[in-house]
Amino acid sequence: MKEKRNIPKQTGFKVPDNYFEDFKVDFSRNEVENSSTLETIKSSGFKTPENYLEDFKVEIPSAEKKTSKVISINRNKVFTFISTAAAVALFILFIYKEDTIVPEASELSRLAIEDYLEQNEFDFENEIDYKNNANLSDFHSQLNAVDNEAILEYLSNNTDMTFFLNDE
Amino acid sequence: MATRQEEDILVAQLQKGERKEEAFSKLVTLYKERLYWHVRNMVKNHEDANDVLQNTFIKIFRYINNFKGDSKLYSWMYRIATNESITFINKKAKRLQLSSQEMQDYLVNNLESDVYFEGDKIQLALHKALAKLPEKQRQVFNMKYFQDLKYKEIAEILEVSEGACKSNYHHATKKIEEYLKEA
Repeated sequence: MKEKRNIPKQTGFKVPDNYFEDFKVDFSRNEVENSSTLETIKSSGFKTPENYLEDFKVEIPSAEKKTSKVISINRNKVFTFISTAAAVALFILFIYKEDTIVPEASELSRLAIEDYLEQNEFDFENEIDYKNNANLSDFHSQLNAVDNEAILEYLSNNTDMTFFLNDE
Repeated sequence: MATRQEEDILVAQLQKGERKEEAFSKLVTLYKERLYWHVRNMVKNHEDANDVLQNTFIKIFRYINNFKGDSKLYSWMYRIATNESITFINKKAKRLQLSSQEMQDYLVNNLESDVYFEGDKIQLALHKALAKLPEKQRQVFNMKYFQDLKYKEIAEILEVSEGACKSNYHHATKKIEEYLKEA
């Protein structure tokens, strides 16, 4: 029986060399363009380096291999003992400082302050009189020295200001 | 996956310390691939997945005596892997000063330049959709869809009811379908 071939006659169309011989359905391309459902997605798309899983080994620290449960508990006990001892030592030191060192330090510092004040001869009896400060009164007199003519001249040069004044 | 009997023998060897390293090596061989893909789906990046997988097996080795056999060994190991992955992501987010959602977006956005990601446009869209899901729904979806675990197994790993797993998966698929339609 002679094989029938569906080749259109004289359409002018042509195909790339070996197109039909090499033809494969590209599912991934089809999915990209047409799919929007979960059913068509096959995998997560993740990959691993070559032979990663075949060569995978767990690197357990050597200390882990030797450590037994008993040693682990003892280590915890030692750690607890050391931390408790350190806490007690710190507490004793703190109390000692509170009772002895701190009052001594405050006594010394008070004496040092008195010495410093005596040496520098501060005069606390004659306080600075800020109310009758000469500089401040000078400032007031300068302000009052501006005469009325100068003010009127300023206002005439600034029409907006005179507008408001006249409006009143 | 090992049978219950094989698991019991392995656990006994690991807990008694007799031929412990040999038993552990067997355990690694049996579960490394499953646990890797479980972790990888959560942390996305291969290097991070490798770090987490190493930590997971070290924790399994260290705490094998804490395994009481109330659940199956694999679900106990999956639980450790899940916790290690979540802890890893949280630490990374803290280091990068990102919120939980920003961290998920960050992980997915990095996929486009990841040499170990060969997913196409639609697979990338799926990961983006997954990043928008609540944590529990994302976990259930990863285990059901990508790893093909049974609801019973997922429930045991996440320590929730089977019904809760089904509900989470249902909601996750609905949201993902909607996201993919819009994308």
